[in-house]
Amino acid sequence: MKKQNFALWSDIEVRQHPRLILDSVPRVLEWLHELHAGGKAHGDIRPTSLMVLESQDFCRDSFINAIKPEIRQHSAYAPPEVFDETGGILTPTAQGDLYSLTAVLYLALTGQTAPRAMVRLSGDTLDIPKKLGPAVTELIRTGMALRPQDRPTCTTAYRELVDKALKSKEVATLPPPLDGRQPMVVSRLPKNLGVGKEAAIPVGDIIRDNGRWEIESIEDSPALGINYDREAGLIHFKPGSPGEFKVEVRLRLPGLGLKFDRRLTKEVDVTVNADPKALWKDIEPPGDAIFPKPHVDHKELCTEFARIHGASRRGRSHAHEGSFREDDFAIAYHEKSQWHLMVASDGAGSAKLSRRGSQIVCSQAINQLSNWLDTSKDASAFCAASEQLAASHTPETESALRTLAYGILGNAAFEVRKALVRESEQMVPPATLRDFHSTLLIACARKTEHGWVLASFTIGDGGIVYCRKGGVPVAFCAPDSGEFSGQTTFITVPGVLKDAQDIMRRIHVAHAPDLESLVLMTDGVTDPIFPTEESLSDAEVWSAFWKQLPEDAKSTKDGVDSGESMLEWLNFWSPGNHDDRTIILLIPKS
Amino acid sequence: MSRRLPVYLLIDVSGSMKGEPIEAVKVGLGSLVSSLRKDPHALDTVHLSLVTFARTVDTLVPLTPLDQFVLPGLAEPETGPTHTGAALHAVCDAVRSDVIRSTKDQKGDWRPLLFVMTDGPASDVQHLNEIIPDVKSINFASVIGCAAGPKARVEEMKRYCSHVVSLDTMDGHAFHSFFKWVSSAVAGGNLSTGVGGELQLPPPPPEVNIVC
Repeated sequence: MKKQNFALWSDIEVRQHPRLILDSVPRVLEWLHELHAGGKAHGDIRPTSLMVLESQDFCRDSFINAIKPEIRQHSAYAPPEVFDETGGILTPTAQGDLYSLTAVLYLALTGQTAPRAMVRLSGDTLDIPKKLGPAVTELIRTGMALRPQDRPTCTTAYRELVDKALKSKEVATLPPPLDGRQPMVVSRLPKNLGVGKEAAIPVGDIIRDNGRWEIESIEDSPALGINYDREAGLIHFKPGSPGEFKVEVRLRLPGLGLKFDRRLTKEVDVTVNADPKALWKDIEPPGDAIFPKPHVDHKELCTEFARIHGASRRGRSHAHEGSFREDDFAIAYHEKSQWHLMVASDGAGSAKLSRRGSQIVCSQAINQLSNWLDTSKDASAFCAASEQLAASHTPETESALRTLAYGILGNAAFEVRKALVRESEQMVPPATLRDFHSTLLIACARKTEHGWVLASFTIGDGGIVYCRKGGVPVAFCAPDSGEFSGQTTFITVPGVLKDAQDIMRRIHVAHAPDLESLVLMTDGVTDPIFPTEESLSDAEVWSAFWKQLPEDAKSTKDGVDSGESMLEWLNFWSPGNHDDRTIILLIPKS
Repeated sequence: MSRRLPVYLLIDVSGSMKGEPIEAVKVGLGSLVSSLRKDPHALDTVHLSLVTFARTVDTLVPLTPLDQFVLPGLAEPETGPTHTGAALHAVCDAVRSDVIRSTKDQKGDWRPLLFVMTDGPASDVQHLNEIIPDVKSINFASVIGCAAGPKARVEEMKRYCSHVVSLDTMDGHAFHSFFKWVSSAVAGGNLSTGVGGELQLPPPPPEVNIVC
């Protein structure tokens, strides 16, 4: 005989399908009928002696094989007559078989094992849920009647009751009484929550395969601010404090009446992250640290042609670790030549004296630029070249200006480096140049007869942008970057000024007749606002940036001072961007 | 999108880690995650991945933002080989596909960090030899090796790690100190450096000896 898969009536799979059992009862009755007609009885009808095959055929052989010569007294399915005072071993009877079969049906229909006959004998009642309907109730009541003579007289009569029960509308609509599977409740909320952040988690993310299990409640913990919206199937959280919490989920499987309900409680772990904003500390550096630097700085300068102002602010990460601002900046106006000068520098986070490095960079650069304009033999040629470029922009006039720009800007860079070397050597004990790693951003601007002429030089990251009328930004720098964020080069890196072509590559010149603004920024400002090189010349990005700036930053009125508002603005929140921020703006006067 | 600091944790779960060592590692990882969660900078940027290795290499948690990271259970260590080479290979593959490099129009991640903890020599020496150049070419900010216990091979680890620390004992206290130190090293991973620059490591606690 081909081997087939089977399930015992006691098995969970079968108990989910009472129809499977009910539908096979007629066949069981046929075989019982055969047995009884031959004067025998089964004696051990119970879920484990009844098998249903995969094909849903009832397994006659196993049924027959389970026939016992004696009645097992301890079976929950044994008829009450087994428990006579006379004791002894009783032979199975047909009526006893009917009792046992009905007890099995009771399990299939209600999901509960019937009370043992012994218990019933001492007065305990057999609960038959009303929901099962009158036909089923009669089947159970008569089939499991305590006195054999009250039970159906034979299998045929029993069969009539079974047929009636099977046809009843209650049985037709009966759900599985025993959802053998327990609902799957996750041990941990699939998402971590944040303090003060509202979250709505679909119930299905926490409870799966719940079948007919209903959610009675989800513990309302004050720390998690839970609100269970049953209709929408969502659990709303609004955590008030960070930490690890447990949510208690209570489930109920409605049975055929209160006594038949089943209940389950499961716990779900929830992690609540702290509010990152609340974690940032503001710590003062040690009072005796060398090269202290104020956390904020701002400067203003007004000429007949433009207003220059700059602001610089210690970033959150330095405030959190109690270290100094590492950015610096300087602005100046060389009246004789009418060149406006702007310098910014960003000290490397990994260099321990970079706050001093950026300070030297800015003061030296500004001084050297002015000095060159005072003393260099090329100074007046530089001014003339700017006029010529503005008057007529050709490759020749541009090249001429670039060559002279190399003179002034290259010289400044060399002198800055020398100053840093001197500083490192004179320290006790001597420092290395690496300890002063800083970037360098220089821009100069001059208003000629035919509009503004600009020149710039950069080593490192950050950015210089000028904006033309109508909000058209033009990138005016060559930022150094590496494969990864945070990688850049510095004025202090060996060989950075060795190659003349490389220095020339770092120089930009431009004629901007309709100049609206010229802006220098360290990466504390460019990373959150102009995250990529492309974005430096993106009109939409520029426009969003310009809108953010305080109004008084854009004004050229006499006596205006936007220090306070700019420092306030530089404190903006941007996740992942907590560096020192420095920005210098040149606004032409109309 | 804010820049991510990718941190890969590669943990040996071979047979010799059975018992107190693996329990201590579990606790250590737990405290690493919760202490990082208290650091605002780390919460903003750190993305963690947890990979275990012994005979097989298992990525228990792919690169996940710190605030969403959930520490899974670690399987019981079983006797068998320690395929360190295969493990490093898997990490290199993961980094190649996970980590974003800077381009003109895309902001890159911070240089990734790799922490390797092992208590014995690699069984797949040839694979290890083949994969070491690949590890170097990835340009991790740092590959920190933890040589746990007396059988760990520091010389072997020096070949693929930029720093090796050793733990004298494999008890709870030593692992706890190590993971605490890892937490502060990670917190320093968001600093600007030169293109080939080295990550400055914070001073180690007494239980953790910097070997190189």
